[in-house]
Amino acid sequence: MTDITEKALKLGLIGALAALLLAVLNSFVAPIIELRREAEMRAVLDVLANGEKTEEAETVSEPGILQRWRISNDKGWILEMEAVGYGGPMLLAASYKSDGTIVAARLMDNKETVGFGKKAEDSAYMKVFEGFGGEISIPQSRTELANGADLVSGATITFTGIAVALEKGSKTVKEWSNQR
Amino acid sequence: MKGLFKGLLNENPIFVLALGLCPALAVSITVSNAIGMSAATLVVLMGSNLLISLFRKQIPYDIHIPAYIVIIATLVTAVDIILQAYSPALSKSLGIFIPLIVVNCIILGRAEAFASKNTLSASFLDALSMGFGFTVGLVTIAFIRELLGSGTITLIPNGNFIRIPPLADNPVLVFSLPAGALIVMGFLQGFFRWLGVVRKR
Repeated sequence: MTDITEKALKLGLIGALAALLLAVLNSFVAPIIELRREAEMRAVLDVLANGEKTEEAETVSEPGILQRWRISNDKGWILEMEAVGYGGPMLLAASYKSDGTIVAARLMDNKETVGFGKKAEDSAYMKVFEGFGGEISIPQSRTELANGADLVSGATITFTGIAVALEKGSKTVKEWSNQR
Repeated sequence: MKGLFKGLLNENPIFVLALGLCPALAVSITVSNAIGMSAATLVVLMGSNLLISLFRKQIPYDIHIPAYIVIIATLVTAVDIILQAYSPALSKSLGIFIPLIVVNCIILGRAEAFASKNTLSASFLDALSMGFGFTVGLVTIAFIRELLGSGTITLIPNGNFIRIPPLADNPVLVFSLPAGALIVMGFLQGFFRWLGVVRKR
């Protein structure tokens, strides 16, 4: 066996052992993470539905929108959406009236920077979008905000990512309302 | 015993060696973040030092860096998914800085400079010492920043915090901003250098 082959084999063996170890660990931990995500989603749904009941989750074929829940009594929709932030993909959920107006929104899984984009996890941060999307379009930059510009400063990419996703959700809800 | 305390003062990774500054500046907003980050780093540091010391004679010199990176990345991934499962609040709070432990200079530095050349017990002590020094540094920065910048001390992620009334009512906001982290770091590095000079005398 040549020297280089021996080194390649050793490195390959280390990589294989590492992959095996992580696969075993993942088989134990993945179901716990999934349960935790489901519980978090249920808690977010309760908050976004604001005391109203929601129907069963439906998968949506629109790009960027993962699931939707109809709020009882035709009060609108709750959408689970994907957005792109500074740290990569972000998961957010928002409730809309039938005319596309945002009632409430929450940022869920994300890898945004601590002290900057992470601020979007605060409910106060997401409040700046409430009431937009119906007759008034959703602000796409913080200069378009009358209130709360200081609250969202320092994380432009996070803000824009959330705004784009919420805008997409609002337009989709309007289309669903027009189709009915 | 001398080796155990070297990471605290003489070779403190943050204040003397100036290693691991990115997470030290970024996650030191609250004490709970600092404790969580330190614990995760300590676990990875101990695991990597032990494994690298154990297999130091089997890993050829030419492939030692990629081999160390694979070992460290495996340990960091394990810590990351365990935190996601059992401490989601801390995992969310630290965000991208947990996966970034892979490129923390303290870990690769100790693997290369110490664990690859020393016995298992010495490498274990080295990891403990450096991890403890990193913890003391990070928690000290976070304590000062949170106390002055927010007037609070948060010990549990997303849990209750201790409110310090005069400071909570009139916080010095610059300390909760990145500039505040640099100011605190600068003063503490100065203090440690002064301490080093005094001890030499």
